[in-house]
Amino acid sequence: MVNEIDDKTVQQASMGDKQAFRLIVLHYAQAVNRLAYRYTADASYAEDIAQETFIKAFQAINRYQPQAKFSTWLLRITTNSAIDYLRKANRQMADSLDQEDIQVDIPNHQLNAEDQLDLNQRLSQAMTDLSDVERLAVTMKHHQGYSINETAQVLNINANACKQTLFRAVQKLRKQLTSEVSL
Amino acid sequence: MKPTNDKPTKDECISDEKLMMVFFKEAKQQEVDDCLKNDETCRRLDQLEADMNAIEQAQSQPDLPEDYGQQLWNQISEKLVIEPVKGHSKNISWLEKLKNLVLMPQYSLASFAVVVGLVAVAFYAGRQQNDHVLGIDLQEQLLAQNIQLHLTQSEIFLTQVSNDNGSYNNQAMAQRLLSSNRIFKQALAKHEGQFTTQLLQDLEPILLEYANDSDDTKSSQGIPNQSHGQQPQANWVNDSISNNLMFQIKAMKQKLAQENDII
Repeated sequence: MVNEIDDKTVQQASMGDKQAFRLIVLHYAQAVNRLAYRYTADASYAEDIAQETFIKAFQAINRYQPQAKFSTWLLRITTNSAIDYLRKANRQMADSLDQEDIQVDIPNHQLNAEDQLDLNQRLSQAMTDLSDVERLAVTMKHHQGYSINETAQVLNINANACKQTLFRAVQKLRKQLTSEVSL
Repeated sequence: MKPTNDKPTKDECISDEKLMMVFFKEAKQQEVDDCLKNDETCRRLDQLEADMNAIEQAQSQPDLPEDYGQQLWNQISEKLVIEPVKGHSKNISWLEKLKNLVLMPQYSLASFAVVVGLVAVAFYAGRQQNDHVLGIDLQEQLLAQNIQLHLTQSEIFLTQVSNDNGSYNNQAMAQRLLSSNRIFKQALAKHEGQFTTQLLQDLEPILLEYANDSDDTKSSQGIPNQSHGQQPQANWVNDSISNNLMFQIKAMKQKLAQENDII
């Protein structure tokens, strides 16, 4: 849950007040970066996406409708920016969005006594090992609360493919939990 | 935290995939009800929820500095500009290119000559009543194409004089377009092109006004020099009648292009 900034600041920013927009950046920068990181599992990507998000937000803020929460609007821009960024950064991502049935198994990080990662690290690694489209799907659905249809629409795949992608991603992540228990 | 996909039970008709849809609140109500009726399925659902919570909380984030917001602001503050509307800029760009091609001094005379040549051919063809090779249809098609070109040039010219800073001679161009306009009107007299004729009649006074626009006259009347991009009437495209004329020009061009026939 993101704390909302006051409406007056948003209103001033929407009239082109850069100082008001600065307050928005200060308020939401961490949330935007964290979400971008969830989508990409890459700190430098997240940094770029955060910058792009706020630049786009400034350009579009006069079209913001106050009926929606400002954070919802901003994080939606973050989502779109992340997808655009991944498409540009990685040709494979663009392909995978069109051919969503590509399946890549996450390497099963077998732990041994000397090199035992804790559960968080393992899951974090598992997120990194997901394909971009799988990570996007699971983050959009589970973390951001998009519906299947919305997720499918944003990822430009059909709803059934989206379900499959999501299911596959969840299975891969749960597999890490299974491994942890079986040690 | 072990997910339960190991032991098939009597509720195995509820697959892991359906269970996930129930968890994500994407299942039908009937499926949710079925799921909740069965103890084993409920247990699997609880397990899934626990797993998903663990996944949600597990993804470690890079530590961001406390002043990350300020750092981010420093990086983007110089880049914050309000973008112009894309469609408009593209349109201007397209017009600019066409304008450069047609209205540049070295080409404008040539394009004018081409137009006049084509008009002459059309006019001549129109007069050759006995020539069965060049039938009426062909004459009309030829005339339609020429009028289409004339309307394109007129549209560019009128847009240019309304928007541009006037880097070319408005008056000379207006005079050329006026001449073409009159020739086409004459040519149309032999065809049933009442809508086209009407449009050319509406266009003529505008062209006439620019063609007669004189710097000397304006100077003597205390009017600022309008030979560079301004127009005799204050921004005529803002006028509703003129907007309507521009619309008619565009519509007529499209119609002529589609049907290749005089209407």
